[in-house]
Amino acid sequence: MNLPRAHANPLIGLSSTLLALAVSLLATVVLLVVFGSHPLSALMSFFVGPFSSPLAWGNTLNQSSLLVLTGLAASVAFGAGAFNLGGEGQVYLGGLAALAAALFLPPVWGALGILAALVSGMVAGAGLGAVSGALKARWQADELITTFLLSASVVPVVDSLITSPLFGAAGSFLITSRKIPQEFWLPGLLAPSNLHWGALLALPLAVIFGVLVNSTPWGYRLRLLGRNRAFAQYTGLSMASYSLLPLGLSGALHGLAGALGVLGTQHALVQGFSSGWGWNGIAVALIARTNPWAVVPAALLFTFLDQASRMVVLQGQFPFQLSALFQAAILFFITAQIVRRRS
Amino acid sequence: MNLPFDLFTPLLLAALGALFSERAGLLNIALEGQMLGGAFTAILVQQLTGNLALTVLAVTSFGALSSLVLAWGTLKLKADPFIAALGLNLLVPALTGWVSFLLFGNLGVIRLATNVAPRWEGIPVTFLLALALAGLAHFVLFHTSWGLRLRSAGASEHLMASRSLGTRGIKTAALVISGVLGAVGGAVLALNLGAWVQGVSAGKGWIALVALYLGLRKPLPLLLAVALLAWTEQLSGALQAIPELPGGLLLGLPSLITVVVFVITSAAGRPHRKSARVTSR
Repeated sequence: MNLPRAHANPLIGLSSTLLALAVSLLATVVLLVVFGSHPLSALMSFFVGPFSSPLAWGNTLNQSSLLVLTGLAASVAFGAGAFNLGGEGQVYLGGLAALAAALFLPPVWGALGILAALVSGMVAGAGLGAVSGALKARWQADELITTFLLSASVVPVVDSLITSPLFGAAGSFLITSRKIPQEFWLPGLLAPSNLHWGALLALPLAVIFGVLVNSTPWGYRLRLLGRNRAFAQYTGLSMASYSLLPLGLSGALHGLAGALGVLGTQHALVQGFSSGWGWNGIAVALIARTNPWAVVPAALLFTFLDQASRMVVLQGQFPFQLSALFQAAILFFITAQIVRRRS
Repeated sequence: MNLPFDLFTPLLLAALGALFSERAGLLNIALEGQMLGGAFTAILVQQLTGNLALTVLAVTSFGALSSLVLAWGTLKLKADPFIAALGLNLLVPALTGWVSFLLFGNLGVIRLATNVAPRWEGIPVTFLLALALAGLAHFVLFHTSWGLRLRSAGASEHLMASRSLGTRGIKTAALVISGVLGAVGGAVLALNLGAWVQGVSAGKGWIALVALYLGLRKPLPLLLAVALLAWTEQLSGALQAIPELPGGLLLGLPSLITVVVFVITSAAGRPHRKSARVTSR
């Protein structure tokens, strides 16, 4: 496997990442200038837009907190040498579980109810991820394929459950569930943006995972597994639990992101609300070279660029999803060895 | 019962594409994007020119070009083949949306006025061609020296290196074949439908990868695998006509069945993905 990881010389790793980012950014800006209707004002809103108001700031921070979670999720799996391509479904299912908890638990539970809803989101996501881990441990079914396909089969099911009598709002024509009771809303920060207190969870989680992966024996074994599976096996590592664990943890983080989206931002489950979070998490994890410490700055940077492209499109200065193009370019170049190692 | 030609042919073409790439040791995850791109190119060129030969040419070029980009990224720039391919899979839907918007002013559906998919005695010609291609793939991979070199490149890079044989050329060729087959598969899918719809490939590029393993990575068992997967997809489509059954569950059914099938073949100990992951440095 050829994933980017901490290089013996950190400067080479960093410069390679920065170069990949620069190439992707350049490609985006060139498109903006060539095809945008007003290149100059488009460039202005691209680079200044995300900082232009507390609203824009808050939304950027909120979105990046979610990306920290999905980025950590992807990097935990990558670090252990596993591909989790099922983030999309795991986030969505986590959102559904949190919705179910918030709709059916008695509202008087208050903060405890919020906690229960977040935990059910995590459990749902972890369950979906762990299934792939178990399939790998028991039957050697490649997780690259099972995570993707399981997620692909979950998404339409959640789509249809949202509008079912169980969760849907009677007489509403929107593709969304009922609103959850206000007791379960995560309190907002920096109104009128959609930033909320739950977003602050991302920072301690990044620290916890940073310590776990980089500074504990458990994390060492996980990284060993990612570097050289055969060698890890010879050292006596239990392959069963180390297939289950990274994918389960990864799923739990995805599920938490989905739950936070429901309790903090949407206060309902809107169809497709989390579309792209899983893929973007993979991009963030790769920018961070799968190191949990680097996930926070990577998520901030990624969100800034993503919001910037959205703003340009929103103001009609570019006719299509510029952000998808930027994301594609990042994924394409981020693992490339543009800076040659001297050998 | 109506035979699922419309599902069988695109899936078989894409699965044959997956076969070439996997045998060369560079499993092509970008098939999903290449099918989607092929479908879009086919409807676009057919709509603009009305010339089937030009359409075939355009679709083939798209498949080859997208594969060359992927080969450049993975073989020259040494990017991870799966991650770079994911990038391609994200790029294609964005590009189709953009081009469709530029040319037709909408992101939605393009419908062809006439059905151009030729038939012979009621059987789609593309179906017969795809069957012939499966036979050809078997011959090329297992009965030519080029096929032996391709399989050797996939089985052991060290062996090739020890014989002073490079693998970049042959891997590029395998990727190009793979991309062309995937794009043509997508084109057949869209031309059978007579229309372009956003996301028309709907995961078929991934199902093709499962068909590859279910088909034991050999062209002839692959036919059976593709037939089984096409039939299950048709079944779930037929079940959706029954109003008592929940629609969402059925939409998820093809992926779910595919996972189950994939796990069974994995458990039966078929040869595993030999691609780049093994060559960790």
